[in-house]
Amino acid sequence: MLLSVRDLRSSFFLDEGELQAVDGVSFELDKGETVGLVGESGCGKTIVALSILDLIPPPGRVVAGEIQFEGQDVLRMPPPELRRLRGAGIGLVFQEPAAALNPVYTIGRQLSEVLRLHRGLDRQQARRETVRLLGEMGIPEPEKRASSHPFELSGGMKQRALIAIAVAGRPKLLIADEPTTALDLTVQAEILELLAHLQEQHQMAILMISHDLDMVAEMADRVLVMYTGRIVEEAPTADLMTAPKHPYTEGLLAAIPQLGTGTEAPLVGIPGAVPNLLDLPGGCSFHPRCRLADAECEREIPGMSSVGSRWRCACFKTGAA
Amino acid sequence: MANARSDTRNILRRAWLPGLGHWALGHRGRGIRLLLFTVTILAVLLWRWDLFVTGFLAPFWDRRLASLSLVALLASAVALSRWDVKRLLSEEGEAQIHRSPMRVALRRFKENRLAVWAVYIIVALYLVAALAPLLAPFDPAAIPDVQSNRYLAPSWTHPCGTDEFGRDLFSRALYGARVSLSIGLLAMIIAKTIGTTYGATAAYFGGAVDNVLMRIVDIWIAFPTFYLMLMLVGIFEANITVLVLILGLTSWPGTARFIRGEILSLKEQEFTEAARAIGLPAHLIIFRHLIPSALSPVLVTAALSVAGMIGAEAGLSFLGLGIRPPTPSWGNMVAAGQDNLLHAWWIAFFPGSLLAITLISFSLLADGLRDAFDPKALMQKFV
Repeated sequence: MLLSVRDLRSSFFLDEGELQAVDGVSFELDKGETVGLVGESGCGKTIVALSILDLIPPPGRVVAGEIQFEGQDVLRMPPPELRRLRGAGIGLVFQEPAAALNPVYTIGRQLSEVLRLHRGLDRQQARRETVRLLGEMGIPEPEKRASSHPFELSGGMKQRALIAIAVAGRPKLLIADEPTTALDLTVQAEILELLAHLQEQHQMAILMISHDLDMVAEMADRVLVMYTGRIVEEAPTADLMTAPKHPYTEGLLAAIPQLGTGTEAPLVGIPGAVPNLLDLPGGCSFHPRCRLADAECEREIPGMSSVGSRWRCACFKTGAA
Repeated sequence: MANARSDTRNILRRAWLPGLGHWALGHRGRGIRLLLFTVTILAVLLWRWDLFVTGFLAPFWDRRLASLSLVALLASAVALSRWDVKRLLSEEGEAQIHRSPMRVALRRFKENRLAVWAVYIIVALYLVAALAPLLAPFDPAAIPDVQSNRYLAPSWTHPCGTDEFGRDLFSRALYGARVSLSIGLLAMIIAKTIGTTYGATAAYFGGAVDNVLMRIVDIWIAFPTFYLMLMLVGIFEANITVLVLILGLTSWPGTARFIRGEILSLKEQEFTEAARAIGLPAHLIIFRHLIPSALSPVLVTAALSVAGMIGAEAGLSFLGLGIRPPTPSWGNMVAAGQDNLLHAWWIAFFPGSLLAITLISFSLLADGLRDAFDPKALMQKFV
């Protein structure tokens, strides 16, 4: 096991009160495995990612829980080890490549910064490795692009450069936080292909974070579905896509447009809106939007229960079935 | 024929004399400027050869420094020009020239002719200051036969006239330039270095650290700076080092506040988080990623700050609290001329004019820098 997250709770302490962005999330990730983390905007996906690297910006912080990476407790690491973990253990790909690259420096300089920091290369070795890496990312004319500034590159190129930076320290786990959201469809496909290729080459595990269940299903071996800071369903991709157990997952699947099926069925959305995290409904936080909800759902928070091999679901109505 | 021409071009490119290579590559303006610069320095070298040589052996630091500056200036002119020719040659083959934000700003700056002239004037003033012992026709402190030499109006022998002791004011103004300009530059560097580091540290760590550091700044700013300087000058014997330290150490809090504001907004940007995510330690994030991004407004205030420091030094010296005569500084020269304003106007006029020209040049430079770095103007250039 590469990464294990146990009962993670992360909160932001705002003037209005404590906002529990992540509320008791547990999952595991094996070497070389691809896991998708799916949910609507604001459900806490990104905060899970940042928690794993202990990078939550103030006023937020991890309140409770345990994160083990290769058997080491991330939350109790001394700063130098934590810095090694960031970059050399776990690489992070950001959602907005334009914002995550420093506009003042060339791509090459930002990439060699990681190489010199984590792989101890000297200036010249780093320069050569930079060009090689950019080439591996499928960037044409890597020598020239290495001396380009971020604003001289297209969105897709910037994302490739950012992925290069994330994998430059040879991490064992790559966390991709909405890596394709800022890109158009054809470029999305290329970036996913690149990630799959890199995973095969470097035997990395990938934690793929997205709101796009369809896209995650293409890449991931397993999928975790998050709602209001909690994981509501965890299943192998094929099972989840064909027979979702949780009503929320079911709703997400129904909301994916089906092309070329011939049936011009209208899209079905999930009724209602994501509740305010500062004012969650009692019991199962999904109950106001759920067609199966009854008195029990309003009263108590359902725990995760096993519904098959490696298949767990947090629902009173379908979980036990 | 064409061959012969390209041969000469190739030879010129490799020439050691700065400017020839640029000329051959078609950068006429830059070539002429470089050549003029070099020829001027060579002329000084030949004209004052004996002073230059003895300068190295002289027991006085100011003369040794002048000779060393001359060598350094020549060497850097040659090195810079050869490096630039190399760069231009490598760019000739390359279709696309990378536009770094700095280079875009530089190009915008060059379009501002007033600011470019200000730079020429400032460079000329600093050159003159560095080479003062080689350029001055007289010893600035030597008092000749006072009766026959004092209060001489400007003439060919004494371009700026002489003062009440018969000292040559042109030489004194040259030496005064060393004092005034070096104090301005050094004090600015001290103030900006401390202010930038301090403000960036406060902003990056935030919370309690920020609170404590900025309250110290508040207290510091609450002291009226000029009176603080007056007090410090009263305590310590005023010489160049002490003045540099006093001016530098009293004027950093403004920069600290300013930089803190810049960094507070920069650190919320995703590239800071990205820098943390690759495991960069805090000091490298501050010095490599945050400060360079906040540096362009600091450059603008730096130019203004040099002017402010020179003005403050002149003010202190004018009041008799700064550099003490016989060491000349523009400030104490103006003060000396004050008593003789009606019958010997030149004593105060020349150092006063130099002071004014210097301050105006730095202001124009700051204006040019501000326009060149204006992010909105920068965007228009890209769109």
